[in-house]
Amino acid sequence: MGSVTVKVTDSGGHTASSSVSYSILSQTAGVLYGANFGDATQTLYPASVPVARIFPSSGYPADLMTMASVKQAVAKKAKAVILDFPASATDAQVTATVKQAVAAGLECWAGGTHEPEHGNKMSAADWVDQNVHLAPIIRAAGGKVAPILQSATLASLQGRNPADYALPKGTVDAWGTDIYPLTKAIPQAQLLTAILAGAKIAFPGVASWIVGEYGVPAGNAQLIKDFKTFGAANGLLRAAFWSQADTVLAADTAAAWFV
Amino acid sequence: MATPTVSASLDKPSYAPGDKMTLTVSYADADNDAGTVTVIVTDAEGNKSDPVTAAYNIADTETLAVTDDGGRTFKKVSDNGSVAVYTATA
Repeated sequence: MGSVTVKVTDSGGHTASSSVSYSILSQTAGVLYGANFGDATQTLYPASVPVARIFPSSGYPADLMTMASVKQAVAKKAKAVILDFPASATDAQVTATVKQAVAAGLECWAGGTHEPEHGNKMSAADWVDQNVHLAPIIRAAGGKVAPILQSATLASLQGRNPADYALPKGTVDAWGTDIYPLTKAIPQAQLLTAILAGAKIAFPGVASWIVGEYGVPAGNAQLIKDFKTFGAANGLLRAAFWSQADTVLAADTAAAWFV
Repeated sequence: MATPTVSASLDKPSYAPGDKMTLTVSYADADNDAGTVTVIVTDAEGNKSDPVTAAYNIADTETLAVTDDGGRTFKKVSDNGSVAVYTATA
């Protein structure tokens, strides 16, 4: 349950206010789980995969819907796609790509450079500038703004500071992160709590979040269940499993993830 | 001195996460500064014209502030001076 309050002040300093309450439906019912499409092995994906992470390995094509991974996602009844745009993407390309996804009936979560910290591909200042610039363009095209940072940054690990990536209030519709809990020096529960704390600094005023990549090796179904429980109680909207290399989806993790 | 009036409404009572929330705010201020200007022309001989009057009304300027205890950010998408519309993501 939440409440919005509107206060009006006239030029004489007189004020009045009005409040209206609302409720957010069960987060559990609202969270959609999906997976990475493209070069990932998809043999364990079920018939319906509501969220599709579409990674632009070499950029998105002129027509997003012709992309092989997007076709695979549509075949799996995807309802939402998670996209990101590198610094080289033009405003026209961003607009066209988001519009193509939306026109196809897909909920489109998009942001600037994915994991700018990875290999120092983009400075924090440039990433902030890029996302402030792209946010109105993505929204105007019908998309939802959700740039993705590494979980280590939000959790203030590895000497990082989420304040370096702080976006102005109102820039994003949801904040995004990628989570590989077993690659971090702290337990997942502690990591998730730290991520939320950092998100309040990097994405002020935004309660909802998405996960572009979540990954654990086989044998860690309980970690997945714990993650989903935490996410459902803390504003998670969409999450995709990253099934590649050491996090390749296994029977036990698929069964836990795609419930 | 009158205080302004304001009423707020949301398009739905409940939302699924990620839904668009639309907030409509109606506001007004009766505390306007009304008056009448009267003009009389007098010539060199002291003859005066009939008075001509014109009424005016200076409206107060209102500012709106929206806060959400749920932590969401409402962005103004339109405002015509009496009705303002804001949106946010649930």
